[in-house]
Amino acid sequence: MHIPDGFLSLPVVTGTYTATLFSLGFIRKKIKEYGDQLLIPKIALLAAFIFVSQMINIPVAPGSSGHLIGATLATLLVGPFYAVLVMSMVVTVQMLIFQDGDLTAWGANVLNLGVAAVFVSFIVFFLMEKWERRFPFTGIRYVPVFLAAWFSVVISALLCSIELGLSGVAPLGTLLKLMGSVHALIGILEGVLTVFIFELVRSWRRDAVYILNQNSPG
Amino acid sequence: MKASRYLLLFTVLILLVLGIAYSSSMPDGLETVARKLHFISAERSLNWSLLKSYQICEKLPEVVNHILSALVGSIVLLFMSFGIARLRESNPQKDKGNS
Repeated sequence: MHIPDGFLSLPVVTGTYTATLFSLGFIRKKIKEYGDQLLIPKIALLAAFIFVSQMINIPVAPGSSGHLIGATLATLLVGPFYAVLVMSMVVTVQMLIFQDGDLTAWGANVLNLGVAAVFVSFIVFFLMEKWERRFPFTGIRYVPVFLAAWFSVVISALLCSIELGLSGVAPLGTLLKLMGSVHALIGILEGVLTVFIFELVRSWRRDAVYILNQNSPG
Repeated sequence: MKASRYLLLFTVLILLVLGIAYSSSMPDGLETVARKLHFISAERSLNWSLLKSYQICEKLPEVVNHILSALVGSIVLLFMSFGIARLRESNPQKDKGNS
């Protein structure tokens, strides 16, 4: 879902750059306040893993493929502030070196795949986790992770549709409908992969999972 | 325990390499919609990035290019992460002054 050059109008480019730079400034401040230097190796590995995962496209519908975005995974493993940093680094390297997502769309891409996807993941996970505690049987613990991942993809896609609609490339209603439906399928892939990888990390190094260390064990 | 961890790491690495090698060439969600709504032609490439779309060397097969790109991107991100940490470490006074 990397927007290339040419899709966004100048006002949308300006607006998304402003929102992204403002968000990154806020994140920088929070990392300075609460950041932990010991997390850096984990952040480096996570960024590399997400970068590589985003190169793997999997068919999700006839004529369309999707890949892991990784914003939810990053949020669960390193927390929302470092997750935005990880996603911003990935999007920036893809743009600077590999021509994936271009310069004028950098603000929008970081806003959609980094800032929005991370905070949607964080909010949905915590809302769902409260609900999950009422039904403490084994299988349901995957639901908050799956839904956080699904919503992160769908909301990012809808935000991307709004940016494209405001730029006038296509009618906003049609964009919302099509982007929403395609990314609802891609969201399922994101959800399944996120649950799988999250469970793998949790079973291997529970202490390395940010979200589990913020709550009581369970 | 340690052996199983190495086995797991090895398996993940193999899966990633295989994933890249057999990655689908079908368009992603945004590209699919852009084609359907006929605004794909609005795409412009300013051609200023270091490499052209995950192509390290045009003479190499696409699979090899993608695997090498994954390696290069990962190394750059590792350096970038540690670089950011080093910047913060080497400038604590400035950070204090700004806060």
